[in-house]
Amino acid sequence: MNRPAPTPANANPSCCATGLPVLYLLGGSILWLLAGLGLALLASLKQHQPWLLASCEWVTYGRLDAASRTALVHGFFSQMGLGLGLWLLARTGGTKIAAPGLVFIAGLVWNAILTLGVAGILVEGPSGHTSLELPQQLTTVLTVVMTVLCLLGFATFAKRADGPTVPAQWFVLTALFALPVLAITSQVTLSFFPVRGVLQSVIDGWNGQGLLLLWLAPLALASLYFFIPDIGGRPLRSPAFAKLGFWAWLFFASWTGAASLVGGPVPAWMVTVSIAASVLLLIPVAFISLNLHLVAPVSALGRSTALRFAALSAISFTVVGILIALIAPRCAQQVLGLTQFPVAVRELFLFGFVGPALFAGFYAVVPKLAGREFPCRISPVAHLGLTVIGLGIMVLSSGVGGWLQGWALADGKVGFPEVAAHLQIWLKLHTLGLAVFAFGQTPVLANSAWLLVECLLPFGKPALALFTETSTAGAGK
Amino acid sequence: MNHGPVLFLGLVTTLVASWTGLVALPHRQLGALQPDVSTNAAGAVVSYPAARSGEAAQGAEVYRSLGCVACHTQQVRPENGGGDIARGWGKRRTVARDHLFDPTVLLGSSRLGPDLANYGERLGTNSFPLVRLYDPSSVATNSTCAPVTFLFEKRPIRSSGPSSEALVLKGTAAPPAGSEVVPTLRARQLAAYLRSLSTTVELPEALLPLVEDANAPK
Repeated sequence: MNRPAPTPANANPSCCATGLPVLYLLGGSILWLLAGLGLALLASLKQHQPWLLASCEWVTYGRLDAASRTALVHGFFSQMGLGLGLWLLARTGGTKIAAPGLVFIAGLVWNAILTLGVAGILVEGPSGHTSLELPQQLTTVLTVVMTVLCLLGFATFAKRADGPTVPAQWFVLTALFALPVLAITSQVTLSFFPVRGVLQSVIDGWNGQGLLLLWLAPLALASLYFFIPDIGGRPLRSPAFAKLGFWAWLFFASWTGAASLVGGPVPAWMVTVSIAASVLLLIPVAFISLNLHLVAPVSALGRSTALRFAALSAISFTVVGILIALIAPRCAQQVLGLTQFPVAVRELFLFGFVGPALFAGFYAVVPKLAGREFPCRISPVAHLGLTVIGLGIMVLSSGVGGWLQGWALADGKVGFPEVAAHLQIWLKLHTLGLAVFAFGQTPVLANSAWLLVECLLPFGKPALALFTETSTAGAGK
Repeated sequence: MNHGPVLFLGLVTTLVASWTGLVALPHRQLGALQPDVSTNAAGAVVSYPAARSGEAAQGAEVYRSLGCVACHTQQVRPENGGGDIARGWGKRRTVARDHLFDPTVLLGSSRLGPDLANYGERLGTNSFPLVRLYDPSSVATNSTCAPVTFLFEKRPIRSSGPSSEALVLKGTAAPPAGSEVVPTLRARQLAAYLRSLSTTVELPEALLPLVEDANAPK
């Protein structure tokens, strides 16, 4: 490779410092999204086609399910959220990301570890702890990498220009603080010095719920709090609501960990505390929703892809917040717990709230960092449309199927084979929804790849010119 | 809220409080739990739960590694909380002590398949879970449980005669004439584990329902 490497005219030196690591994290996360959805689709097919690839041990349903969840949560949601979070800290602080080279290297290690880890789940089987499925040694390395990245976020925050902090910063810092705490404590208590008996499930629940509500949700909310007013051009309606919403979220979300263990072999008081916290989560959901919906610039929706994704996310946030509170009480959990209904809530949370919030940031940030717009204008429309259709089918099929499954299971006179048989149609519909959803994510990959080629073209052109010159010269002889 | 320290202090306090409440306190309550020692009807001292035998303990590892927990729970919920006991999945609710010696506790969170807390009881002494593992639909029609055929060896019947361990299979799952399906070591371990699944033991915190003794003198 001895081609000349000139700098393109529009390259911005400050862009490389902040831009390259962020673009790397965002790009990597898109690949994980598609890989994770591919695995999830295969898992979903196996829910109703048990003979599919039955002779291959690597792709049992349990392994595919764990591998897809790991790829999506640690590959897509976490990585894209982290990339955006670091960008938000730099942007709101009026500074650059601290040690961008280290961020880049840590990102590389993260992806390498996760690739090995997902392969490890398929080859060796999941760990059995749903929030920590990777093989133990890899989890340790991943925890170190995550901690380094989160510390770099704090270093970026420390470099900020003086001035009042904004909600987006509070939420990003919450996430960056919660992730290492969750990862380290659960590692220590589940892997290094494993606790005995059902305490494992308690810690697993605490860690799993923490990953959703204290790591992913704050990153998504930070994105919404920043981009909705920023793109819409209207400041937040109520800073007081923002403060209340933030502290209430932090307080109640951190106590919801045991809510799904209703009726399980764990102390009843902690389940009760978590149920109360899940219901009280309505308070921050109301404050945050009001603040976000009140500034929603409906007129601007037509011209900004990012804003449309943010709108989808804000609506899903309100709905999922209400659903979490509604299904938390004992009477609801006794029927709907352990069915497909919580799967629907989880999917709405991840793919309806967190995903679109991150994509809002993605569509807003990538053009700024790359120095050019996304080449295809139809692709984001297709992306959003298919996301909504696919997600709708997924959530409705899991929701309705889980509802019926729950009531059938609650009636001891209905035999289990009958319950399972009636669930079939809903599982098949879910596969259809997931297929539409997964297909709907391919435009963003194509668009990003095209953008990447366009960005690299200035580097490639002189080489290409050199090549054509020599070839025409050769032809002229 | 313009100062980093306030935020930092708030974050530390919240997470420490949550960890104390949802991890440390339950550990204080359950961490020192011991097996229940009692005297059975024959006068022998029994301890429950007992650690699993070698083969069944290895089977727990196979169960974990195949990801069976994705579809099967191992928790019977109390009588007033669902139809578990009425359906015959257990005679009493599952309590913390039942899982005391599980190396990895696999309570499960989805019931795409039936609960297995008392699967060993349901199998009884005569039936053999291996056929179920090889071809679930031969035992439960339309079962969506994935067959684990990779834990079995399909081989020509040896000159010394068919193996005593060969599965008795019917229908489409049956091997062609002259071949037999024999479980591998891991299949036998998994079967031993499944047979060991039982919580039908009375504990002070979870009593078994009273049974009317039909032979009792009137």
